[in-house]
Amino acid sequence: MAKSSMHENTIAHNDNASCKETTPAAILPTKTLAQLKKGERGVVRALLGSGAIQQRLMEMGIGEGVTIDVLRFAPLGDPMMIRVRGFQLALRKSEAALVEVEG
Amino acid sequence: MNLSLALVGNPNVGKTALFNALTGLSLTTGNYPGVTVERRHGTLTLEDTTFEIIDLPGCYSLAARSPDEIIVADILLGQYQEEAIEGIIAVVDASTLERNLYLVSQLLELGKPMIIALNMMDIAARRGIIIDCEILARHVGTPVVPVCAHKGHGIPKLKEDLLRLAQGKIPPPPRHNIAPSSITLAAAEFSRCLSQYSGQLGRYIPSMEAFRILVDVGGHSEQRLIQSLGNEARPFLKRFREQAWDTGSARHFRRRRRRRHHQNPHHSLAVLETQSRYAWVEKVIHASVSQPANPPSPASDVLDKLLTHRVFGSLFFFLIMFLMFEAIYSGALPAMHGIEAIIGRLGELTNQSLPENMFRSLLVDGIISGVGSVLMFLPQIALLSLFIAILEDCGYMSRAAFLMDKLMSWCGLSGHSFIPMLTCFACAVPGILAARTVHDRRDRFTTILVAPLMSCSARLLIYTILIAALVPEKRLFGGFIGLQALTLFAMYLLGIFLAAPIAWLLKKNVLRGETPPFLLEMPSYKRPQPSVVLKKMARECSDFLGRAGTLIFSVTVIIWALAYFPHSEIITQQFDTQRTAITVSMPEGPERDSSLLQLTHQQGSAHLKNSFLGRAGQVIEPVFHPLGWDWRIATAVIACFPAREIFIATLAALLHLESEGDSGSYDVLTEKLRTIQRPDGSPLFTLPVTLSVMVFMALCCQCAATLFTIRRETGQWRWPLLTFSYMTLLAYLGAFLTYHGTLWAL
Repeated sequence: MAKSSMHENTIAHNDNASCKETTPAAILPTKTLAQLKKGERGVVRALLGSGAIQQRLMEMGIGEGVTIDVLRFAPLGDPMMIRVRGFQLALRKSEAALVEVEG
Repeated sequence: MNLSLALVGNPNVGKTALFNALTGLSLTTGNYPGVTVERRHGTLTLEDTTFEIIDLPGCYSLAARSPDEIIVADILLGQYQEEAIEGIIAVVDASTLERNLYLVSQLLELGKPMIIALNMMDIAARRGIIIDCEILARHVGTPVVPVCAHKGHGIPKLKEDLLRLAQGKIPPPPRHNIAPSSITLAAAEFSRCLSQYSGQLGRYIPSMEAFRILVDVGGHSEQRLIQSLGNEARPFLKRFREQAWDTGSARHFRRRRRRRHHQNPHHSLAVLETQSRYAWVEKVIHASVSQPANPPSPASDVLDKLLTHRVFGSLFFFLIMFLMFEAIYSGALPAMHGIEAIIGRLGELTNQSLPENMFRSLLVDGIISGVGSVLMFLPQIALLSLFIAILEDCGYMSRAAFLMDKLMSWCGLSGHSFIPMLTCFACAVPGILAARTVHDRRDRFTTILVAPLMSCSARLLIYTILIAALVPEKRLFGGFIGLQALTLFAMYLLGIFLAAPIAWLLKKNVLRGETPPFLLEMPSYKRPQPSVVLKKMARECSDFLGRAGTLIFSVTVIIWALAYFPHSEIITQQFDTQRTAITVSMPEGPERDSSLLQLTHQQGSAHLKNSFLGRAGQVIEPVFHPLGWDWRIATAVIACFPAREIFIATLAALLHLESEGDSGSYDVLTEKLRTIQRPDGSPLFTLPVTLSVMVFMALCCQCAATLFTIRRETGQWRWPLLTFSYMTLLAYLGAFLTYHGTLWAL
């Protein structure tokens, strides 16, 4: 019984979202840091992009599994201020878009 | 005994305060060769040991990309022979220990004796963070000294440890194997492999540097290797990166092998490095720090909520900017008037006490006014550097960059550029100095190069005089807006609107490069330290006097010489005969005095016309003819190269007027400007000519002080030359279009 219901669930999910993977991570909503709203919290899942910007983000402590709080946005909507590893960091949305989070 | 120590730490951890506390007043500054990174040294003598302490720029990691970070990495990795360091003082902010320990984990691998100065314990305590220094020391493997740099707490203990370090009682930290061993091994092999090229490289590359070459793709170390070895280096890089990756990734990413973004070994060594380091950091923190799960919101956060709020934050920001601008613009005025008065008085006294000859003219118009033109900038620079030092020290500067970033990004700059640009409306010299707060080199140079387009207070003087004299007092749009005010406003807008495309062009051409990340730490607010602030201010002022000041002074003297020589005797004799004639023919009284004064002015004007400067103006008149100018305007424009203020003075001298002195001269000048004629009898300053002169003055860089400050701040002559050429070209085109446009419109 239990097995078949799980199977149905998976099928239903595939129908709805036409998702190719069925791992739990793919079912959880994935956003980038730039899409979070003021006051929201996210856990870093992955860093996209490469090179200097990625390395900088990681050196500042934005690594997989780290919790990030979005504190606020600048008056013109960009950049944003976050709290990570106990300090406040400002970054542009274009950079925040490289950070994949589970929110 | 002498011992060289480096003071290293993240930005905003109170490094300067600790440096001041240790070295007192022994600071010497300079620049590192070839770059504009400031080099700060100080000495500390304890018993029989003299410590030479090098205050390195703040950085978050040894993965160097900006000039500041390159200096730090080079010194720590032993690239500077003359700056060989024998020990490290790592300054660590206790309230953001996690991120600070990341850099510490890299420093530990340098194999140098190290002491950790744990600063800002008070802020950490207020947040409920309790650090067990002994456990921390045991885990890190170096002494840990809690200090409160600005209050001087913990300094005696730190000095004791420094003495122990000098006596060899502090061994280099033990090997923790924090970095992934796969990379460390590959780096060691890479370093051995490169040793066969040491002839071409000119030096041996230690494995620590080899580590950075492998991990930092496109970073400074890699670039330098490729520069000296050429493409020969690439196969090596590929081989060792793959080696480091293959053994490392298998262990680290066993569970996540499906992730596509981890598959490029070239970029992912950095992922391996940061993950292993932060894993170590978390372990250390877990063992030595206890912090509440829900820490109380610190006062700094509450303040931040207000100061970066959409409405209140913006209002507060503009209030601060207004205050700063007002202080530079009008607050400095009394001091500037004071300097002007003293210089003027000194000139008068010299004039009275010496007979009229070349020596007197050199002394009064060359040397004294040269000194004056340098000192004139001092009040503005002092006030601005005071403001900036306070804003930086209390932590507001980062917030200002945060608030203004979007606005400035429209012309390709970042929020850091706002304050330098704003300052330029008062004066470009302090504005260019303020550009030091711009972190990225390309942004900083772009800011410096477009900054002189902002209309400074010297230009305001020219605008007001020309507008009052020559722009008709018409009301437009139903009497709401005066034409005069509109013209003034347009002059200001001209520079602002041209700055954006110019900045964009510069970044596409001479200042090409990838856009740096705008990752800016928002440090906790703190009370600014008077000692740090005043020291900074004093240094800015003395720097300006010492380096830019001498150049400004020399140019003033050179321009004097050009305006004085050849000083033909024939002209003097002609006027002497006329003077005698008047003295003989007219009765004594005010009428005769005024005629004599008139004659003196005419004599000055005749000498100026005959001088090298006047001749140059006449020679290049055809060049300025398309702008509607005659030789007098051309001469005044050349003569005002030391400073724009001279434009009006030279024009006045050419129009047979006393340039300075009595209060009535302003009205006389206005009247004279209106009536001055061309040789054919038509008025010289028609509206098109006036506007063309104003546009030229708005866009040109006739300001030696600005150019020399640019030279000083960029370290190369090509940047002031570029600024001068593009602005002169722009000014010429602008004036040409304005002249012909206005002619056509009228």
